[in-house]
Amino acid sequence: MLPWSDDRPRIELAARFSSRLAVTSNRPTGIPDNLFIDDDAADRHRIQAFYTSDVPHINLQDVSVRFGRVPILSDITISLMPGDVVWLRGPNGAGKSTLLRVMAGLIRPVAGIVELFGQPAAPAARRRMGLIAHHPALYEDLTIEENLRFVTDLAAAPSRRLDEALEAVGLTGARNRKASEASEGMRRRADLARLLIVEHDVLLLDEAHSGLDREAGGLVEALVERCAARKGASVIVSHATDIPFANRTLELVEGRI
Amino acid sequence: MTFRRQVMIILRRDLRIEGRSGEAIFVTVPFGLVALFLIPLALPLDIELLARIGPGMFWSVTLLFGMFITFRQSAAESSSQQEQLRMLGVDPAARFVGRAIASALLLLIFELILAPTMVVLYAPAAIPGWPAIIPLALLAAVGLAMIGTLAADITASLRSRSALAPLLVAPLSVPLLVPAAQGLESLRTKNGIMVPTMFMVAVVLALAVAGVVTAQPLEETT
Amino acid sequence: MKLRYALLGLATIGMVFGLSLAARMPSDAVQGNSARIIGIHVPAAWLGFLAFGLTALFGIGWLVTKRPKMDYLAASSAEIGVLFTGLALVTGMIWGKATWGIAWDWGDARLASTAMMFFVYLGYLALRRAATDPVQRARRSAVLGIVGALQIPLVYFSVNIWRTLHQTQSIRPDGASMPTETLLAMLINLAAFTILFAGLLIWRADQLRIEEARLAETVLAPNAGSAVIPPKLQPGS
Repeated sequence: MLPWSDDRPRIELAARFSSRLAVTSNRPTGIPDNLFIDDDAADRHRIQAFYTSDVPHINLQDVSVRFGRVPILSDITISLMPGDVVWLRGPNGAGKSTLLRVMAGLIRPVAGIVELFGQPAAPAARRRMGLIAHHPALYEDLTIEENLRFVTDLAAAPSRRLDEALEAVGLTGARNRKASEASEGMRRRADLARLLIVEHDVLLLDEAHSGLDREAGGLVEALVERCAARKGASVIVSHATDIPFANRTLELVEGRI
Repeated sequence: MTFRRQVMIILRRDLRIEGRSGEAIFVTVPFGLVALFLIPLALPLDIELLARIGPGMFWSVTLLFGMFITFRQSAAESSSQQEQLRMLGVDPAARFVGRAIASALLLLIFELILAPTMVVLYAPAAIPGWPAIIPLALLAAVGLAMIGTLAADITASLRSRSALAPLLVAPLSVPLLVPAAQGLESLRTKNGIMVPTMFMVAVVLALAVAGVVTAQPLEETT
Repeated sequence: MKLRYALLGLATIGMVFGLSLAARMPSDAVQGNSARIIGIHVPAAWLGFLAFGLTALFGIGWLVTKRPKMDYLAASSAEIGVLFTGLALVTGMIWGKATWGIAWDWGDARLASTAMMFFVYLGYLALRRAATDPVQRARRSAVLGIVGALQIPLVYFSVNIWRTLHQTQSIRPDGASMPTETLLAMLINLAAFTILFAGLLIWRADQLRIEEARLAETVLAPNAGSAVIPPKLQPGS
């Protein structure tokens, strides 16, 4: 069940969210009914389009990236299909974070083609993608709620999503705490809550697990599962020994797959 | 999401952060006040001299010290914050405008506190029709905020940023300093205040165009 | 024969001719020998303005094409521009001291705005030193070059409108009152300096390209990840 289905009490929502912890890998094959979130026609149409299309969400062809003189990625070719959950692993400095940013359309490669949702990479496509960076993108002087309010406002999402996201990450009680005064785990959770405010077709998670306890780690999984169920795609960068809910594993070594 | 709404959200963010950190109001404003106290201490004890240089000192301090409001650390965005804005589809021009308006409002407060202090300390001769320079102060704040915001973006995350940004802003702010400082002179000589005002309007418009047009190319990363 | 050598050779001939003309002309009735310096001062100032205009144009060129060559040309132009602007300021001050008795005339809009231009482009070069990533450096300096070039005319006008009230410009040589010989020497030097500028620009831009390529060679070897070597653990230790 989705965290923002309106008709359910919030306590129950949180309970349902944590109940997803037990689920490991039961990818739905048909179109589950509960996918239709606000039951509006446009959303339904969009989801159906996903199911019937074979266009990869992200398509990289022979992509190379250099930072100044240092080569970071060399000739990367990947396609992310709808429903994919990719575990991206590799040693420190292999270029995992850079690859995620290329996928997000934030870094323009020096060579190769980047296609997002079947189109050449354009800023508009970024709105459909959620990125969790290595460092939480929080404003230290703002409270956790104000930080998330900023995202909610910019995404033009309804205000109730903010409350639901806070509830889902278990920060309702700490909403008025300044980000600079929150613990690292709380900051991580607050960062994660951003992804609950907007629905994304692609999730790019850069070490989203680090600094999270088991419960919140389960949240990452639930988020990815939900995205996959909606025929979205996710890329998870993680140094964990196993990501059971991933259906593909990519190993990046020295800037190559 | 309209451009104006994005501007308002960015503006609200910056003002709220300033409200919490107080970097501009509780650090830069006192710094400017100290400057107004220091200058007479370095000059011969001559009350007439102070009365003559007072307004000019006000403008110099506003530009040289007020510019630090635009580079305040609390308004500097980290790279993950900038990434977040880009992922949310924020127009780089809206980001520029929102940040510049926030800095302009803070600079106005700076001027509002410094101007009466200068009048008290330096006791310049009253000139009839002096309120006509208020629009000049407003334009100076807006123009300086835009130059500063541009310089802050150009020097963002560079190690020598704190020394480099002022070097970029100071010479570029001459077209604001000179007409603003000449406002009082024009009133005294009864030359009218229209020319400096219109000149500053033109400068501010040119800066606005430059800031909006260069926002996109500045934002792209490697 | 490379173009740059041809240009520098031509410039040398022109400068020898122009400067000797300035040196040999009879001393000015009003200004005495100090008028000879105009032969260097005016061309240097002109090159300063040309250089910074070109810096902005090459900056635009880089933003449009993203070709490194544009960035090298913009940087070279700014460097040479700072050199000639500095020369113009120094010769201007020498001339002012000899003619008016003061080195720095606060009533002269040209002097003040040239000085401001000098500082803007010192800032430009400082920015280039501060930024390490070539693409980031090219982007940011291109934007600064454009904004700087937009502001310079405004600096000039603002100083010219309000700061020249007490100016005594009558003894300033302008086209009409300048003796033909002085004018001729100045024009020859103007042409020679411009050719010199073109030669230096090509030379310096090429140098920057080679520097960049050398630096690339030294770091090109490994990809990022290979820099981290996993520690080897001794069994049983």
